[in-house]
Amino acid sequence: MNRKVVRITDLSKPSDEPLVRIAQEDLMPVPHLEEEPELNPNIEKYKENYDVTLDGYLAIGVPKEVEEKALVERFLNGLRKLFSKNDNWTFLQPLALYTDYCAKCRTCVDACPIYISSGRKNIYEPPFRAEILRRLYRKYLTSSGKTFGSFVTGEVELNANLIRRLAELSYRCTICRRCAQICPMGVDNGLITHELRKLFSQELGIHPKELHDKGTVQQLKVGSSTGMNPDAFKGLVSFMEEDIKDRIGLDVKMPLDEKGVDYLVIHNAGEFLSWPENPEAFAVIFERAGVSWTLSSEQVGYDAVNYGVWYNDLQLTKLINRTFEIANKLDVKEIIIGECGHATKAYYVVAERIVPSDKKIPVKSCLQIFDEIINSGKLDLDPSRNDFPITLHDPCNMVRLSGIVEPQRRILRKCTKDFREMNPNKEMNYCCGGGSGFAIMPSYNFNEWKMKVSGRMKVKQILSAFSDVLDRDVVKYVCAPCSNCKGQIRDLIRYYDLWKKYKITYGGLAELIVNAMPDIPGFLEFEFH
Amino acid sequence: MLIGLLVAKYFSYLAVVIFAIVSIIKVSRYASMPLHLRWELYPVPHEEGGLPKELKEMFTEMLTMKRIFENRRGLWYFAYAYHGGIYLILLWAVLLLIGGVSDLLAPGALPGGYQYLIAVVGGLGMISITVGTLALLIQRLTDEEYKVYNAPVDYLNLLFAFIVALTGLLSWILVDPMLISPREYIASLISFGASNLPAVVVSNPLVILHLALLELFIAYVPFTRMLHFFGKYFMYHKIMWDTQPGLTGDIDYEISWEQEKGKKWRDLYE
Repeated sequence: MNRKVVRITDLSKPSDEPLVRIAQEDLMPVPHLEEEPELNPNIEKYKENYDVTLDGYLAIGVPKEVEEKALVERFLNGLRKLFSKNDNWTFLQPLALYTDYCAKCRTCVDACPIYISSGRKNIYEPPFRAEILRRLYRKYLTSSGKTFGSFVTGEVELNANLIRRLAELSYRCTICRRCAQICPMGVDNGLITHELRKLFSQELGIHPKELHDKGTVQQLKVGSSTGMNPDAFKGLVSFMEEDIKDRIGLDVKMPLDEKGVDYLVIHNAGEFLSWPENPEAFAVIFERAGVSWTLSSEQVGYDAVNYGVWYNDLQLTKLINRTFEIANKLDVKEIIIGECGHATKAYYVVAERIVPSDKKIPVKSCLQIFDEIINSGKLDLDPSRNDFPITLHDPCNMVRLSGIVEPQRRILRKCTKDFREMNPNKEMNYCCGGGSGFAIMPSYNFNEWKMKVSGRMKVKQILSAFSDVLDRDVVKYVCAPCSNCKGQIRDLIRYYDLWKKYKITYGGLAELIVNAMPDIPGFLEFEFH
Repeated sequence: MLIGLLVAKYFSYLAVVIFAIVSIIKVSRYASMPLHLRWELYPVPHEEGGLPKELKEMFTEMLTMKRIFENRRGLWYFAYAYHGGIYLILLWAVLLLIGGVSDLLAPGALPGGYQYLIAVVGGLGMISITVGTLALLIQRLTDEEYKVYNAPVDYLNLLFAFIVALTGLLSWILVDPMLISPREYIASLISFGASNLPAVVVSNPLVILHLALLELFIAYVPFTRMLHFFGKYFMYHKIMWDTQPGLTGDIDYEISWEQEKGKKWRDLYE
């Protein structure tokens, strides 16, 4: 195994070749995965225009030719702002503490699925990229660093090579924060990744186009990161109402822009386009339970997505402000976030201290609402309707980062017959590998890295959860109550051909609830798409 | 003799004062930072069992270093030798303080066995820190994957702690196996000289060297990340387990990021 150790100073050195290369023989072995696609990052295609010298993959695609002096100057400006209260009141205290007090004990490294899956490439260790920020902070912003130099900061040279590679490296972590969960100090290296991304985005305008231009910018301009405008959304709502009728023969309404109701339900708009059966299932459940709810057709009001939470506090704030403005206008009692992990964290946890006190409205996850509804006995459910093996993927944002752990389990126990946990699970779960935006970032050759490296642990977990039934000709269902996780799991199943090999498919939670309703014809269709 | 007196008498107070002032400045700096966005990690113990559960989690982690024990056992043996040794030395300091107070106020009130307790706890503490710091130092110097993260000051810090512990250990073994002089020394310090300093503390070169290094170390710690015991309070209680609802941060700050220069956070709409 190639265990070359990369040093911090290596990132500043010029090179035409990647510092690290992902090789199949280095990757973590996955039982039951005898054959898998060959690695082909196709570096030659990109190396002329982009800096591919980190690991041969491109998430952002930082151009090769940059004006070095200006880049360094702008980076340093951003670094100063990261440590100023006006510009970074949102995370200054955690950042300052995490910068000052990492003990460099490397306890966290084995918690990282990316580091493990890659065959322990040390550039992916959670503290590696954080150490670069720590050294730069000490060197340029502290009196001890200015006085004693590298004796206290450690060696680091700020130049264009380092900046370009560091930008890419900030997109080799899914910010799942599993490392923080086991840090004896309580240091969160995931937050450092987050802060680096902010520096690059908010000051240098460097970010993946899927998160920024096609993501938050498009969402604020058009209404959704999918590009869907309000008219298209209204059309989709009509389509979904018809689809419900086609599926189960019932007239179920999906209310739009109704004022004064209990819940404003906001889905990740990707659901409407890729998995309309999920919002349709919500409508069926709410109708059955007699819930008073509405969707919004205002721009942003029908897309819970808030990619800002991964890379840019300014965009995060804009989307939060907009969403709460809509909810206030509709005069709803609560905002309910659909099956979307990052949106749950953004609105259920993070938004609270951004929203002005006179505009605050309680936020809940749909999982909590479903749990309440099922507990109240308003739904008649027959678990034998879902008699196939089901495992649950815990979205990091729902579980470790928002504390929503048991509702989905109680629901599954009431509406399925063969529910088996992945291991590890709950707050110690592994990320699907598509976290922090990766699931919607297919550009350049990044998809291969997502499949081979960041998603590898999840594939291992899924196969292991079904290991006793893999050879049985029965559908196996990965329940992922999160749009981004679902997208990543879909891509993993496709990439590793798990539907054909093992009949493994995936879907949300609401669909399983409706499928368990005994008086409704089967809601689930087992075709892989 | 003069150096011994300076070290044993005046520098002892000076070291403690520097430690206290720098620590207060550092802690105040963190405490005065603006309220950050919620960024907790679950499970949050106070949500499951209130303050008792939170305290239990905190003390379990502090006293056992459970997270390293469970996730990096090889390191735990060394790290725990070092930190467990520090805890023993802190306990030793408390025993010395009790002994000193008792000697000043009610001489002979404590049983004779108390001195054995002082000798055992202090001796074990010194052995433990010496072994732990040496092992950590060797590991940091030899393990390629750890070396990536080390600055020279990291080696210095460990070496410093090792030398302080080693000189203490040697003083214990060679000069005062029953550790009577530290008890007398503490009594003299807390009485501001009302009781005499023990002779060895002001005259024995090894003891003076140890004491001088220890005082330097105490004054040095708050300038380094070895002050993490205060930082840990914030990282656990003010971030990882902070779920206090109903608060809003200071959205009136003016932004200077290139992207939205000149706007205030509360004006971020589009």
